[in-house]
Amino acid sequence: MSERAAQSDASLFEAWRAGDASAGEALFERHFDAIYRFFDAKIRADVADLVQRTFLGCVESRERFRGASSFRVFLFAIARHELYQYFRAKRRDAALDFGVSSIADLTPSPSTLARARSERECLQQALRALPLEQQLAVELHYWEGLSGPELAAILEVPEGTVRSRLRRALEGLRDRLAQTPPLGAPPGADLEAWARALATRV
Amino acid sequence: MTPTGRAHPPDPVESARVREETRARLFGQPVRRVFVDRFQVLRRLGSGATGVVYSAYDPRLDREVAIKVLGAGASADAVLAEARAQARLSHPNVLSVFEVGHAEGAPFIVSELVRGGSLRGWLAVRRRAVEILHMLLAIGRGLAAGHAAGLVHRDIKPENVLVRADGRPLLCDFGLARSTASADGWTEPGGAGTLRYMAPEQIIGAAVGPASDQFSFAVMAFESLTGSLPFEGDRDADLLSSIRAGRIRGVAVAPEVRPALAVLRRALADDPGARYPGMGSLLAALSSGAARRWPRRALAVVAALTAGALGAGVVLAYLESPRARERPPAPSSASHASVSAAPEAEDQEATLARETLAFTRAGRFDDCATFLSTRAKTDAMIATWIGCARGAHDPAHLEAACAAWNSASRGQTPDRTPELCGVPLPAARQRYRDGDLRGCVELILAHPPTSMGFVQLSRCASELRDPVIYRRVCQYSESMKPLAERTARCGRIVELR
Repeated sequence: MSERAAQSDASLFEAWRAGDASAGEALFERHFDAIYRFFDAKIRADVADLVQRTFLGCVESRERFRGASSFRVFLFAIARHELYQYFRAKRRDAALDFGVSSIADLTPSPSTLARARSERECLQQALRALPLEQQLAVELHYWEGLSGPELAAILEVPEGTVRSRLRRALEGLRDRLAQTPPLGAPPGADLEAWARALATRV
Repeated sequence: MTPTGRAHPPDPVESARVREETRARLFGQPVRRVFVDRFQVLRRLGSGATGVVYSAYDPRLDREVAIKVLGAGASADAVLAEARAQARLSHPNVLSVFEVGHAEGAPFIVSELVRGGSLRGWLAVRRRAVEILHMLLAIGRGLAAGHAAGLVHRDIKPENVLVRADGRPLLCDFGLARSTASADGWTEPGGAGTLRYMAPEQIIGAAVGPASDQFSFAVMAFESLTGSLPFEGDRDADLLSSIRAGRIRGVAVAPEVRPALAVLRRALADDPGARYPGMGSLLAALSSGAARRWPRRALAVVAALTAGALGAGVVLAYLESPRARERPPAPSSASHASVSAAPEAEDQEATLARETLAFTRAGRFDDCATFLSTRAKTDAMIATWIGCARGAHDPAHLEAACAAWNSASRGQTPDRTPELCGVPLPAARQRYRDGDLRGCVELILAHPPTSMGFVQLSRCASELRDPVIYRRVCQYSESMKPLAERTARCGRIVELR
């Protein structure tokens, strides 16, 4: 099993495509948590389905991987695609604009009347109120540690767009959390540092 | 850049479960069971604000249990306190707690597994009022047991009551309960609970105690009995102002439910000190409101009284009459011998009856009263107007409607119920307002019976709860038989149980 641990994502993926199921399992083990987190924060019910489709999807679109920078980017790109498809299908609205709609808009939440009891819940609620595109940018950058170029590949937008999205997202978060001590502790001029600190605390 | 992701996913058990399920599907393997401590996780049952609940198998005692896994953020101390608190209680209407522990950073609580749903699901089926009342009394007993053990639940709502297949309710999720620290039973503020059911002191974040549970229980009871919440308002501020003003929604209910609603009103007071001193007295008031001890005749009168005989009873009679539901008959068809009014007025009446039926079904008593105020000509319509005014708690409409009634029936046609001018109704009402209920009663009884006198009398009698007065009121209503017969001719009288 230790050889598996040392193998790179790319070679594991090659082995899996060639029919080696245990290589596939190793890949799955490595990346399951991140993909689970990706969906869990956004939808309650069908997480298992979407996680499965994401992993299956990367086998199906193996040709596209040739061009991707890394397996992780490839995987997240598919996850994002599945997420958007999920909402479009649910609302039967192919024209849904994720630059505008947030998770709070898209999913009816029974807990809207319940108060957020912990810092993490406060932050989650604030994130869910951002337009989905911005929420994704924040989570992928600060939680999953993906870089600008990687984000650009996953979200399929130019790097400049990624930067401005992040900036707007942080401003949105800051405004929303302003009333929530101690998360609302004034971030000062450096929004970036504030966001990173937030990510480690919660 | 290194990932800054969290060490544990928010719900380790759920993520493990999804992991095994997905792995099985992707690679065609049998699902590997997830374990929490020694318990084998079987199915996810549901999730709430406090955590996720699973059914699980306990190999040691060879039985199925329920496991609630709390979020990794929940502090171990708080969870321990919760489990211990609930484990102290052994009551048929409180969920039994077996064990508490830790799994990969997430605390969990093992309790009895209940097959059946929550009170919410139980209420979705049409139930008789008496059944609902018995259910509420049982839940109340469970809550009272918690208070007696020194606990405050803080999150009473239908979702936190499980109903077993045999119909026994179990109060659970004392999830936010804390042991009362101080002698007078009030704990520190901490925020919790579901807004709709929260006591006002809870909403503003002030100290919470058993009286707050009582409030939430009363909201739940009101909703169970009527289908609507007592107070309007989606946001804190709106809800609070409704509660402070005591603006309880007016709903049309069957006569036998009214005593319970009257009891609940006190429990819904804004000031905790004004509510019942404890769940015990609230439950006693609720069960005595079902009036099993009173003689049957008096019970019929009480039902009429609390409906306000010229209120809901007549309204229902009038609106449920066959004529109200039919299309207006052609003018040449045989006129309904029972109504003395001219045929065109009958048709008008039927149309109006349909429209008012629509209003009252929607609970829009104030709109209905306004609608009727310009159109009510016959006694039945005016009576309905009175009923709507009472339903809308609108004194202005009530005055106008009563005035219309009195002037309409001032001895104009021989078959009308003799109404006396000069019935000292204003004087009687003044005595009532001054709190001199017996004086009010005396004054009314000293004069020949009138329908408005009966209405006022009924209000006094229901507040005095004196058997002697009830007997007098029965006699009074007997002497009003002609009126009863006339309303019967409009339709059928609502059955008084």
